[in-house]
Amino acid sequence: MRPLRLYLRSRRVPVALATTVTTVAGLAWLNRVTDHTPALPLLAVLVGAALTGPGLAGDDIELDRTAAWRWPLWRTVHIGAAGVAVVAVVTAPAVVGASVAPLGQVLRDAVGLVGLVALTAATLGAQHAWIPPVTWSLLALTVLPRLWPPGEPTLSERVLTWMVQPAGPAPTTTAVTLGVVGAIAYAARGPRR
Amino acid sequence: MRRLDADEIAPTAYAWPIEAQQLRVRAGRRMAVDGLDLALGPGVHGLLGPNGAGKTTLVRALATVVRPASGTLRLLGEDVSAGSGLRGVRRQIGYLPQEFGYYRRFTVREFVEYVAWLKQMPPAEVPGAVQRAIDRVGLTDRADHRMRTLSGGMVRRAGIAQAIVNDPVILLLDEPTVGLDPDQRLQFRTLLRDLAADTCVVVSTHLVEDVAAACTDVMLIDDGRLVFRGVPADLAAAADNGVGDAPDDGGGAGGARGDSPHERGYSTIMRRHRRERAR
Amino acid sequence: MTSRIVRIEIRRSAARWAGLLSLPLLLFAFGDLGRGSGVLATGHRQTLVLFVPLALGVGAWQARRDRRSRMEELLITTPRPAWHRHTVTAAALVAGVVVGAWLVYALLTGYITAIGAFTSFTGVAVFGVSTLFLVAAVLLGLAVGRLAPWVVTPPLLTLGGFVLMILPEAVLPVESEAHPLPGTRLLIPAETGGVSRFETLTGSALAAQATWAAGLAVAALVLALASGYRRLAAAAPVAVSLAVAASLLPAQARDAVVLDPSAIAAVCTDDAPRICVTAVQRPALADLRDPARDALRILASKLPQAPTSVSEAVLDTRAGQYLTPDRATVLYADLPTTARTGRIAVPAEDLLFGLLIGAGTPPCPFAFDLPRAQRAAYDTARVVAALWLLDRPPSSVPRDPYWWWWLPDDAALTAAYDALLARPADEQRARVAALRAAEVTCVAGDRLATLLGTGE
Repeated sequence: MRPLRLYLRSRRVPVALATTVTTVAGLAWLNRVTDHTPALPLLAVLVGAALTGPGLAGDDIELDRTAAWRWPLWRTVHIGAAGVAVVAVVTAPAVVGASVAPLGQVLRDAVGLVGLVALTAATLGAQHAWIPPVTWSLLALTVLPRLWPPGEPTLSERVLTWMVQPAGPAPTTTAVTLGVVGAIAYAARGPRR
Repeated sequence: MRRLDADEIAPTAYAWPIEAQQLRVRAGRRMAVDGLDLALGPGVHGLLGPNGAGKTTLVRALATVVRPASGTLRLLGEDVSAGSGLRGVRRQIGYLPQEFGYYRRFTVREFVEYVAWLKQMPPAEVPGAVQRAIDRVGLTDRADHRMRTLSGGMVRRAGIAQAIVNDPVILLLDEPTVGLDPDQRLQFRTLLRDLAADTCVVVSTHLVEDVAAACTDVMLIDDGRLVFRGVPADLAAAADNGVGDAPDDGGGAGGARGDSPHERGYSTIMRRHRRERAR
Repeated sequence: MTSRIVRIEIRRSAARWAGLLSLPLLLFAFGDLGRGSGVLATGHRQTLVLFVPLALGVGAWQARRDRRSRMEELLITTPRPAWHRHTVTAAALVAGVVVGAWLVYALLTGYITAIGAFTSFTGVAVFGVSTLFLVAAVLLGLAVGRLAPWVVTPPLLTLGGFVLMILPEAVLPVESEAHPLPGTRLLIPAETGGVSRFETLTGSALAAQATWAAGLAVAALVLALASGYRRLAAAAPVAVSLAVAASLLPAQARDAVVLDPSAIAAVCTDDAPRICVTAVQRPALADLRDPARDALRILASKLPQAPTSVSEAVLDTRAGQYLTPDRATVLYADLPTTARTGRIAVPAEDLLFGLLIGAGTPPCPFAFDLPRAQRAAYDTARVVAALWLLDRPPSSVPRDPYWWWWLPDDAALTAAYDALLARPADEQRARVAALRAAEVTCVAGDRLATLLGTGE
């Protein structure tokens, strides 16, 4: 257990977890108080996903790489556990009756957004990992729908604004693809400088 | 060649650029520098000592990064122990930290220029001073490349360039030769010898050979205290062949350890000092 | 020397990202540009819910630079005061934000001018105030980033800023007759005042918003540059600008909305008969001309005292009546134009039909509040008038949902149409003329009764 404990501390996981729990609790309370703001479920998952970003790389990437662990396996477990943790924290308020969102939606958003975070960490570095999910989600919530005429969303709209779409095959497939590609990329390459 | 103004050629109002009495500096909870007395004038002063001896803390205190816990520290005649009125002193200090951080996106020239601005150099002098500093460290062909494209040794040299850009009176270099290849180390020693004439340079390093070759003056520090002060020749002369000393470290042929006279001198002095402390 | 350093900072800091964060404004190019640059500025103001959080994130990201590069040790040993450094960085970021935003606005306004749509001066003022809010946001991001230079600050600040921006709409009550919006609602950055494309905010309301935004920007600058207890000085500009803004704002938000004279100015054809549109609808004039002249011809042939020109009726929502005084013309409102180009969205013959509804009059404001059954009767009378003028059966009514709040009921239409045609020809003409007269003066009453002569 000690290696695990040291690993978690080196990646500052306890702090990230505490911050996520506090922020999601605040959002859940806000959700209650304001009579369900539509974007809040997505924002809660975004907070969780963004906070997993820094933990994907240690302070010294080169040093980590020289460790004799089976890194691909370890990293897969890390990213999987991060996704599970995000889902758990966001659905936890439902236990005390302040549900943020249905489980299916949280699961879909978490898989896609955490996958995107992992993909960014593998390509652009862990400190930049929060930028694509947050920017894409905010764009989808505000201006991205302008690209298409109003009315029934087309396939391209459902794919490109997947995080704000209701449950359906196209958004779910997009989310799962992002999750899988991101997890594989991160497990194989590790975080980039 | 640059223009000297009246202030620079006027005789100084102080005796020593760096003067310390009973200097005590804390590093975390430890008293890393413990009762140090120093008077350093122009020249290259090498600072040697084991890890944790307080070299870096001493250099940081001289750079006014940390305030002394007690004792007096006078830089350029100004008492800096209180931590106020440092602006004038800082204009004439150059510092290369052990962990040299830099803006990766800046080019070398931009970075040195930025540091020159930070040191409040007169604007008219800056372009010339920047070019001179870059030339002196041998980065002329890389001057317009971004800092993040430089190798470790080049980064270090850029660090030296930013430290010397304002022609400082006090120059503090902490591990300046890390990452430099042998050729660059030789060039660096030449640079140090050039600076020795009018600058008070303090070089903290682990490499005894660098100290031996370029320094006018060597200080050995152990456990926050000054153990030895003298010219490099004295350091070499201090090496003995173990005659009359009780063997305390197993192995070795009874003589002082080291591959050069200076290294042997260093280890002799350290051993003697530790034995005396243990008593 | 400092200008050189600012230029270095502009090149090498996050200033370019501060400029690029305005790029999503280009997505508007896929939507409403046909409505003119006033609508563009208003839309941008609403979309501050996106741009302000992004600006906060950029500022917080930049603030971490010293920690990220581990330059703090070296920076301590330099004589130049820290606020000099922060000023230079702040200047670079502000320059980036402002230049980026205005470049995109200029680009889109150029496109708007190229397609012949309406360019608005008040839109420039509105956009200027929005830019001030963006400047305040990026400086606030810088300030918070300095206070909390952790890795998680940029994302949390971005998301937190977004929550704050969408909160007013979720929390504050919706406007209704009983609870009109207070004037202070206009202090919310993303609040537009509900202006339509014909309207704008009064000069004092804009000045109030500008003062408030400027106060926020100055306060954020103080926070970003100062250290320690001196940061408390930031409360002063906030308080002062709030007081000034509150004094300039009207008691109710709707009093801050006025018709924009340049937007409702008439743009007409050169030759007679004159066909006019409001300046906002200028791209539609070319498509409108021929169907409008056909409508005039039909009216002249079928009705006495026929109108001789066509112009757009502008509704003054506060007064509750149409603005255009001269109602001896064919009037229309709500021209069916596309948002993208401002051209007419329906075929010419459907446009002709629409112009002749109510015998060339727009619906009266009192009808907007009628209960559904009476509204249906009102609309039926107006549509039957058009059918009579065009001599077409009720089945030929256009089914384009663009035209209708709800589609007219075929049975009611047929019944009314047959009832009208059952009258002698002279009486039909008189009835339709009476309908037009009633609609022109907008007296309250049952138009169906007027048309069919039942219950005078």
